[in-house]
Amino acid sequence: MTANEAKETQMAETKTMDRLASIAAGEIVETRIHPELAEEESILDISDFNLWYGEKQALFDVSMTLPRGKVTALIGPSGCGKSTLLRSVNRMNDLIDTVRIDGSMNLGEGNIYGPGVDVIELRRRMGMVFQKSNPFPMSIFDNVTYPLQINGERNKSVLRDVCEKALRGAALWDEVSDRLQESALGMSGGQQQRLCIARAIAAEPEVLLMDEPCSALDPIATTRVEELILSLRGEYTVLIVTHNMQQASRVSDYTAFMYLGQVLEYGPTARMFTNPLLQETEDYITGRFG
Amino acid sequence: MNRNAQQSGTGSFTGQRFSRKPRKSVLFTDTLARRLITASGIGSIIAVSLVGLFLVWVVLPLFTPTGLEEVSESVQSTGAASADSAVPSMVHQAMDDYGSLVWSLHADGTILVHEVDGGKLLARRIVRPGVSVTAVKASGHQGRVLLGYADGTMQTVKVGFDVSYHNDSDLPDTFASLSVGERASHEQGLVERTPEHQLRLSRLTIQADEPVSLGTDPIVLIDGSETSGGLVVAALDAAGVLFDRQLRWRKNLLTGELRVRSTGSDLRLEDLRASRGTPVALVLNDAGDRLLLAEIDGTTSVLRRDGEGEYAAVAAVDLVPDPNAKLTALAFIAGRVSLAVGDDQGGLSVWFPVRETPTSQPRLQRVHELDEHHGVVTALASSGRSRLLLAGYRDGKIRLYHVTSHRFLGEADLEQGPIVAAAISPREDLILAANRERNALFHLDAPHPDISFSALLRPVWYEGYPGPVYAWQSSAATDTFEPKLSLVPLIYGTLKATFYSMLFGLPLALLAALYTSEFLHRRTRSRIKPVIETMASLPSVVLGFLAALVMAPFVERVLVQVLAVLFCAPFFLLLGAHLWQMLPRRSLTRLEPWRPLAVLIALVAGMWCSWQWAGPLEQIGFAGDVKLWLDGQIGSGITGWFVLLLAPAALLVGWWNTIQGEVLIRGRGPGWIRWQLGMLDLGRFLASTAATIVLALFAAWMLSSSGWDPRGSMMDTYVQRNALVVGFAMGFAVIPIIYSIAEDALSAVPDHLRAASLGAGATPWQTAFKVVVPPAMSGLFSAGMIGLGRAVGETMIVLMAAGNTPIMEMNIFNGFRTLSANLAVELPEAVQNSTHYRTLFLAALTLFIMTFLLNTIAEVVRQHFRRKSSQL
Repeated sequence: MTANEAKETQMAETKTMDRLASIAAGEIVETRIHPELAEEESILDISDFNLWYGEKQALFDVSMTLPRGKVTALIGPSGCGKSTLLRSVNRMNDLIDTVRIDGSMNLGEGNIYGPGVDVIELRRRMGMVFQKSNPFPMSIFDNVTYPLQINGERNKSVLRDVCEKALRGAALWDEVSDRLQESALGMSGGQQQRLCIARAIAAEPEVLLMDEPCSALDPIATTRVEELILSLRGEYTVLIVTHNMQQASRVSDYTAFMYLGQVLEYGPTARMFTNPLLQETEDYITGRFG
Repeated sequence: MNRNAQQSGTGSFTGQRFSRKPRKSVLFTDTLARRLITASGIGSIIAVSLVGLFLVWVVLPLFTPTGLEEVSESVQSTGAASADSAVPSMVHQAMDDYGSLVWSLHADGTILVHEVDGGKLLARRIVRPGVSVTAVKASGHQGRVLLGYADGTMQTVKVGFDVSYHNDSDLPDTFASLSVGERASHEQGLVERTPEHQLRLSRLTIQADEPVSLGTDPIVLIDGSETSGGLVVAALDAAGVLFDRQLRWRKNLLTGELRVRSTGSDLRLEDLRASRGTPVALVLNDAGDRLLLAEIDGTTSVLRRDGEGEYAAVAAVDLVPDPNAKLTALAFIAGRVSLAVGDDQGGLSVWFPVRETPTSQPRLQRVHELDEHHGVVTALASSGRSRLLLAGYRDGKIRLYHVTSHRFLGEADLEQGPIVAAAISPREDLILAANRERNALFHLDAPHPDISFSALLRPVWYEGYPGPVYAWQSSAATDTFEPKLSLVPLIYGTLKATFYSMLFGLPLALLAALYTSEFLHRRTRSRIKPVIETMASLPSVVLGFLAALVMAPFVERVLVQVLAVLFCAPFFLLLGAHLWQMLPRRSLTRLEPWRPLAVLIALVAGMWCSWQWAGPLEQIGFAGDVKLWLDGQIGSGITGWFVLLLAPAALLVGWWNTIQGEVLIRGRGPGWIRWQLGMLDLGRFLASTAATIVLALFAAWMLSSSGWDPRGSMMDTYVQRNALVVGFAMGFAVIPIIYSIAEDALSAVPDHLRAASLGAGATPWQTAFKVVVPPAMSGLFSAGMIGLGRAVGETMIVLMAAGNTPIMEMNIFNGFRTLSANLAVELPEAVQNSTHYRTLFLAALTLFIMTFLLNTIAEVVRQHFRRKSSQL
């Protein structure tokens, strides 16, 4: 590395740091959205979405669309609002008393935050997978068919079909098909997480939300879940939050980079990882800050 | 770098050098703490065990076997072997209160006085020398002896002991050397040094009245009974004439002499009864209104004697149903109501008059059977203060029974000759049994003869009761009263109190816990929980006081309103909730903080309506007067069933609703707007309410028309202090503890499960019931068990508000007595180490075991739950 190059790098870093500092100070920057996204059919349209936890604002003017049938990853340093944004999509943030929002999110035709929206119904249109696997303390079968059971589905054969389909979808069928009536708590961590995915896809959701689904898993289990996500592409629209750059690059079609509640850049994963528009994105991806 | 750092050499990062060995003080504190904690832990375990052990230690003597041991050196000779070889067979004997003297009555009317210890003869009297005695009856406990003579006369003799206390100077010097408890004979009496260092002189007094002439033939059977109108005597002579005499004593004011006056009539026996057999026994009962004439085969005529001395046969019973057996012994036991019957096959039974219904005539019934020994019963003796019955046999055996508890207490063998007379000392510590050769003394150690597991836990047939009962009645005013110490009514009362308080408290506490943990704002929860837990610190005596003096009279006055509010309040709450959800979303958000106020308004509206409707409801449902209705005097049982079935019907309809009705609403989600859905839901609710009422009414009508009336079981005559009041008050006492534990259990369910469920599109209610409650179930169970334990042990509330009547009725409007309240009421009055005292300790032990078991189950379940929930 020549001295010049080193200086350039240093200057770039300084510049980046300056910008990051100004964002931290409250500057609202425009999201750099890659043109490829305009060609995709959008399923979820987020526009000028703001969210406050009490007095503290967590999301600033988030505007982005989610392409149908694709996997979109949300990356960014801790506390940047990835999970908040994800949880805003199925209104899980409603459970927190102090949350206040502004802006709109449109799923298909309807505004998620519109008046008269049935939150329960909204959540049924989306599946959610959490950071920590959270199977219910019931049998594997009941776990997978839970979304149908709470909707009043009592037909055993329907439930059995859905269970098998979901478990096959989650690449779990071969492992558990002979012990569906056993407690889900007896499964391994990776199996439990795939079970949660099976549960999430059992009700055929329009959008699958995944909040760091592999952060509590070992590498082999992670690989399996990642393979699963890849296999879901096309059939489901997936929004995934991850801390793991490699994972984002492996599983996602599109990646959004968030920083302190703002989406800085949003584009195809390949371009985001090789040739981002913003220096900050590159710096983050290459690990210069985070 | 400083010097220290340099000295530390390489490898020191901070430049400081630390000792690797822990300091002495650290080690000391560690050891001290470990020892102290160990000691305290073991100490507390020991303390609790000691409480249990102490209870067991006090209770255990209740169940120790009876000791019946012959005192070998105390044998007196009787009859032929004695110096008084002329004295014929003994027919009766009795001891004084101190067990020091015994008098015996012999067939010829001779009365002998012996010292009990050593058997020295102290005095001898022949009541009426020269005339031969043909009939003898002695009721040992009153000292009254009736003698019938060959010349057709009878005589009453009062035998007693004259006891006087003296100082050393009053009596000859020979007694000065007596130490405490030592005895010496003096002038046909006995001197004993009392623990107070006085000398007690006991002497036999015999007060023989002048003979009363009855007829000319020898008297063969005689008996008498002390009544308010004097001594009633019935005597039968050899010619078959029954003499009825009423004897009154009149004191001559000048001489101080007692003169006896007799009135009465002479009756022919064959006019009185159907049987023609020869009577071998004649007994007159305590009230002097029933005369029993028994024949050798047991056939017995029961004659009723009215106040004027007129007799009429009322019944004939066979006291010895075994056709091969012959009646050999017949005697009243203490109280002269129960009759002990012995036969030559060893059959020993106790009979007493039983009224089958309160209005029917009493009928003599064989109530207790004590036959275990096969021998001829030759003598019967009973204790003056309890139901001990001593049977002597021809083979020389004596056997001791407790009649009421059917308990066989022990036996002894005199080896030769039939037992002719036996006696139990007034203190029940000595037994004398005489055959023709000797009079043997036994030490009796039976402090609690009436207690056995079956007497405590099985129904017992007490004298005068129409059948075996569970009864607790530890004391009464009369001497012949027998304590009834069945623990069952108390356990029943405890369970009843627990049941009704849990019925009220458990759902309320669990639902409150569910509401606070699942539906309430976190901030409100953190405020509400301590408030409810503070309820637990309210002294239960205050609750009991309020329940007894405020609530009980109030509930009695407004019973219909109270019953109505149980149904009106939930209805109005639900109605309010349905109206609330019809509000537009915008105003809903604004009104959210006022929701508790709305709940309050709904509650008040419910109360107000039940208040307003109570009058008409009472008219329609309870024929205008709910108390008379509960008594069963007016109206039909249909309202009762309706009240009982309304809640199950509501549950049933609600259950059906969730299965079918929900689909109706859910399916319309997108198309309908909010208020339309609200209207639909409201309509569904009103329809469900109507369906509930119709269902309950229909079921009530069905049950009632098939002849079942709820009055008599769950509801019956109203008593002011009752299970309903206790249920409210004690429910209030158990709510905090159940609530607190249940809330903890529910909160312990990890949030990620809730998130998963909500994320899958479940409603909060579905989440609570399908995801939160199942893993918390064991915690909820343990909360219930600990609440149960609290309710079982609760004392003050039940003591003050339950009426403390030890009756066994499920009637919610009647009182009861719990183990704990019973202890509080009776333990201060129980004589230490008495049967009553030890039984109360047994009640305490029962309570201890009950709460111990409940808490242990709760703890085991909780541990299980903890292990299970650690997987979540």
